[in-house]
Amino acid sequence: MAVTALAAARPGYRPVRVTVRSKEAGPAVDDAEVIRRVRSGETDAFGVLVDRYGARLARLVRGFVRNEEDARDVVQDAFVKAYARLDRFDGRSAFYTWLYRIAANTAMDHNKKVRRRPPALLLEESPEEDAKNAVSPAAPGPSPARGAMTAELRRSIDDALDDLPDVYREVIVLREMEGLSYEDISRVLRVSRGTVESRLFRARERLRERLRREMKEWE
Amino acid sequence: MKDCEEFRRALGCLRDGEGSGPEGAAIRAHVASCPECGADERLLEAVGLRIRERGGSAEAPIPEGLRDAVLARLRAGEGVILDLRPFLRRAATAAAAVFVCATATAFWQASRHSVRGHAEAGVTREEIVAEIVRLQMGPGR
Repeated sequence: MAVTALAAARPGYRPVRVTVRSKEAGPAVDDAEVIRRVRSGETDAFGVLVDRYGARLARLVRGFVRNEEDARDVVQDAFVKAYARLDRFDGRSAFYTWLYRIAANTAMDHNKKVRRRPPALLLEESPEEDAKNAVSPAAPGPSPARGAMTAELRRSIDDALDDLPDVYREVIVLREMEGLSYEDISRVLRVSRGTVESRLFRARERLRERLRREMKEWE
Repeated sequence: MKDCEEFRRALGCLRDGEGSGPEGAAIRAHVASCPECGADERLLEAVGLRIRERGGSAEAPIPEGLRDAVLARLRAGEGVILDLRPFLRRAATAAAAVFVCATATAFWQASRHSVRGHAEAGVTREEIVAEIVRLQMGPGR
């Protein structure tokens, strides 16, 4: 049975009634209750939030960060930052929306640091991995040429995504990765719905123009 | 008549589940008949697919050891940040109060010396006030 949310002691605090049943045995505790416990000094209770949102956050971060090991570090950093700022979480949005924001910022800060690193330190995936994950908008049907092209396209998409300005990248990753509605994205990014729509359009236009240009060069 | 760019914008919203109805059908019909828009649409589908691939499976479990790693960092005190905001707020208020007091004192002392100096020179208080008003209004007023 789910435990009812308790209002936090803080004035004006509105409890978030997102109740997610834990995979572990025992009652599911909603986010507001967990946050209240963490705020009252039960650090280990934060582990419930890590368990609850860790997988989704890792998935989101991989949309921003190419290297798996780096992505793992970014997810950890995002949780540590969320813990440090938990007093500032006012409950006006869902905890996960708030966590998204922190994770996206952490990932983009990480990318800024990586861009300053020498390129040799960037780990690329193996050719086998490339072939396994190949995608193509081109004609279906197996052919050696298609395999080579799809690996190339995949790399081009990754490069194009990495080169997108942050405001465009975050919006397209949130949309494509998480399938968030424009309204939800506007809550995460704290911008208007119109801004979300406009940024998404511009992000796609940039990607489209660049990829078409590159694909013409392959022909 | 819409051009391809307008169709692309509308199509993006449609694909994101943010538009529907008769206009949606018209957009799809255009994309089906326009080779350029069709190619662009497939390209953007590939982008979406690639982004989702980068994230991994939606069913993927929590990264191994994440909980322990986060809790270990929190126990080591990493999550505790010294919140200096209340201190900085109080310091700023105190600094502003000191500044106001010092300015007021300096102004009072300066005006006192000025009045005394003028009085010694035989200038009346009314003349001093008139001079200040004249200076504040600016020349020629």
